[in-house]
Amino acid sequence: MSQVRTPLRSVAVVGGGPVAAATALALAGGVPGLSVTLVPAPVAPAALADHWPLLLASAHPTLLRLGAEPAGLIAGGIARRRTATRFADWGVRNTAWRLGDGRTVPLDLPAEQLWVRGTRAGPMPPFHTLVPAAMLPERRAHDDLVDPALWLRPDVWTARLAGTMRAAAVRVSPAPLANVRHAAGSVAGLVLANGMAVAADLYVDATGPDRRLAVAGHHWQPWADVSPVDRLLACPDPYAAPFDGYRAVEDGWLGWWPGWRGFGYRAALTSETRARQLLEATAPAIGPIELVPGRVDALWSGNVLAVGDAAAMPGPLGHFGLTLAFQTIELVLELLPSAAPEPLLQAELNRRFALRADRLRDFVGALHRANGRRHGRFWRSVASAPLPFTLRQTMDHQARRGYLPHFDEDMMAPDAWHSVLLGQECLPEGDAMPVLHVQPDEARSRVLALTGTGPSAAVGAGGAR
Amino acid sequence: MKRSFFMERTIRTRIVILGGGTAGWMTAAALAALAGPLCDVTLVESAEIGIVGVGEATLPHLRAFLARLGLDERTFMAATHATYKLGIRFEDFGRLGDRYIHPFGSYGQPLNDVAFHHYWIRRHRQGRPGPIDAFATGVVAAEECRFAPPSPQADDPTPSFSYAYQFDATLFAPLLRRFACARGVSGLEGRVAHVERCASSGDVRALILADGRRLEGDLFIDCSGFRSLLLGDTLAEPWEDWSGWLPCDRAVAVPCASPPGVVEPFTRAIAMPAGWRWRIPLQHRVGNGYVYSSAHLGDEEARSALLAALEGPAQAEPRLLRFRAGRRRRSWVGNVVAVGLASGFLEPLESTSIYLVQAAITQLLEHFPDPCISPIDRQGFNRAIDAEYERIRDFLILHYHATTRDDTGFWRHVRTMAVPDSLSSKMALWRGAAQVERYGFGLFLEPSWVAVYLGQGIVPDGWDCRADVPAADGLDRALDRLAAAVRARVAAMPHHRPPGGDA
Repeated sequence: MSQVRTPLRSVAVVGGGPVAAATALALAGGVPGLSVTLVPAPVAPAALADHWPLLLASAHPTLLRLGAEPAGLIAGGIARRRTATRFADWGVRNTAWRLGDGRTVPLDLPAEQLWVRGTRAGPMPPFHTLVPAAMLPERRAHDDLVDPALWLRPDVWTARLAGTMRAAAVRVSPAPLANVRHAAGSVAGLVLANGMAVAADLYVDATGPDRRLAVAGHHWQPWADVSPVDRLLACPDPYAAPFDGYRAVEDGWLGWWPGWRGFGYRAALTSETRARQLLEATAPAIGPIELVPGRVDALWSGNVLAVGDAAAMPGPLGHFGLTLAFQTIELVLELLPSAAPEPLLQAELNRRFALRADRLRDFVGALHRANGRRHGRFWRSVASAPLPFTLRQTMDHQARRGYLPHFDEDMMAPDAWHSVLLGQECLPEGDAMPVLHVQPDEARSRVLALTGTGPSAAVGAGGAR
Repeated sequence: MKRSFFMERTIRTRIVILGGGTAGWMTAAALAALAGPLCDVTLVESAEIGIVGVGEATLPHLRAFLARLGLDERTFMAATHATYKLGIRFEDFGRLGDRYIHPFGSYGQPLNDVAFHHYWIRRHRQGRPGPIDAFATGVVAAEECRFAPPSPQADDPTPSFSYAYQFDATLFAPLLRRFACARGVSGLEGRVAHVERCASSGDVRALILADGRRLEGDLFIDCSGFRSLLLGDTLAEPWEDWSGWLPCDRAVAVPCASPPGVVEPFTRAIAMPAGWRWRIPLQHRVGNGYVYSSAHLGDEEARSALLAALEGPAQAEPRLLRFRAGRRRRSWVGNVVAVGLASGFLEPLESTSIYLVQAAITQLLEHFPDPCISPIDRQGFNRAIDAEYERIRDFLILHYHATTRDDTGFWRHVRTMAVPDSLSSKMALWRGAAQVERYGFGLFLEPSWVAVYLGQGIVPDGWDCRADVPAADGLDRALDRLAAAVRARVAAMPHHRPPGGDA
């Protein structure tokens, strides 16, 4: 007997950046017999995942679906390693701290708990000295504790993906998208600029924030309270360090990414003129790009699946968008839809995506406001906004004893959460059970011995430049 | 830097545990071993009040508990007459004559991104004979009464498995008592006559014993069993009743002599006209019990049915237990934390009683209270325990509801009753697309749901379409190879022989 489900025969992916190409390729490679058409459509500059493609290590397995692996992309000049993000003037005490792309040193006791215990005895080196990736390149690290992220060059990578698509028999429409025909919460068909019609079982909206295929279920939930930057101004910059940098200023933050310098701020608080002054652009700047961080209510509604910035935009701080997009692709492949409507499968996919996106929202929220910088109008506005319940819960529990409550579908590892909270000096009020038998002095000397630093290094975290 | 009052703390938390059953002594032992320097633990128990002690079958998590305490497996097994357990064999649940094993382990390996069960379901629907059991190492080993501890090899294609124990719960508490008392826990004999509370906060201040002794504490752990003396009687935490979904409310239990032959490395759950019967083989005897719904069966009939089913002479008078399925809405209220039956009850169909005790202890240690308790700790604890209870509840209901049995009033009731929405949507998702709703926290992940769904005859009508791609004959050859590898791995295991046992 054959089954009741009808296999998906055709998918039309609409978009013009790496997100669309990667989705088309992953579906074509992962679903035998599926006919995949890529319908070109321009993606706006606000499609951060397409224009600032950064991939955390957890998403690298998806690259294999696209016929690429990190070492090859680096060797081919398409990607470069990023081993940490450095924050300067951050938090309530203008702290310098780092988020490493890797794990905390393994000890017989949880390193973060031992570090917290040590702080009770005297000044400690910053928590990130326990994260070897965060100490690169000054201090050489054990490679097995470093899981570098990859910065991809969008233009070269898109061209490379186009080549792979030809080999993988992904059909590319001869003309770009002109119109979308909607019908009752679904898409009835696409019309190309040359008048041709395209129809498919499933449509993937990878058009970024334009969300050109959005149907009724794709209502947008804004995250302004936790991801407050709604304007990004950026200009080319010779910046080439293997770590990204962010520096808090009164009106927002300045960010440094390979080849770029950016300024994130809020339009209601800072004028464009002032933003341009703060960015100190020496070359013509792009933007200001208008951003509306948030996510769709339902990832998959009717016969339309959103991916990339059309599904969720975490915001420019940390550039997590592409990693989430790749995880969305994996989720779609895990719960592969069929040709007919399946409300329960749809609900399960939407449930898991929402958990994942919201947990990432919480992480971005923790980056912005875990330790309440108050000076500067931008930071005051951030500090006064309400926190989502789940982030509140995380911060309360961490503040209590350093434990993190469990959340399903969290794409950020506990090590990253500890780095973000302890880096910003969110010191738990009490110590965790496993380290209570260790005297604070002993905990402190163990950490000092391990990091090979005296307390004098405590201020050596460095800024963005 | 903010200095916390208990950084260099000299005040030790005074913990009073009420009840000396499995839950009480597990809690005492864990606190003594892991939080010794922080607290003074007193446990009060009464010889007048018997212990329920039916939790004879366990889950693999217990091994982690023993390891954390530093209790050696062989010592534990010898002291409690324990045997190894690879899973539970359910008989007559989906329909009369059916049986399947729910193993601690998985079925097959994923192929091209698609979980193994999709391929099996496809070939099953297309007429390939044989159950999915052949692809689970734990099931095949159990059926053949073989056991060896898992030792994963990198190139081993066979699915992984795990194990737990079947043991004499009445011997576990004494073992833990010796362990805890050697580490400073003081055990008192006495009966609570009165609970003294703080007039303003409502917290419990002290337990007054019948002989007039007064036990003051900062934190009280209610391990008083079904009586729920502190959480239920004293604090009146509301009861959430689940008996509409889990109607069994009585059990009659009796041990009998072991039949000759190799001891089975699994627990049996055999469906009965008004409930089900457990059979738990230990080294020296077999534990038996009939869990039933008093609305459908009289106590005397249950007793006779149980005695008639014994494979050897009864070793005691059958004991009657009364309970109801459900839980207190919160397990930690004020300065009272309930652990075990005092916080709720789910019947032992999936051996979850001791697991729930252990989960509560783990959470208690993570939220280890200072002399002054924070609402954050309470909230974190209760949130974790909520998730455990609700997931186990749905999984248990599935065992009753997924049936075609029409032979008794009890089975007609559970087959046709309305189940929680959370379960009906899980079942519909499985039926339509062979997908298991995913969660990462708590018990019973995908392989467990697959075991019970398929074991009880819910074979999906749809599955992942990618499983239709491989040609049938090639797929069958791969399935045959995998089954042969599982058989070979099991054949290399010795017959089940618990340490200290003479089987």
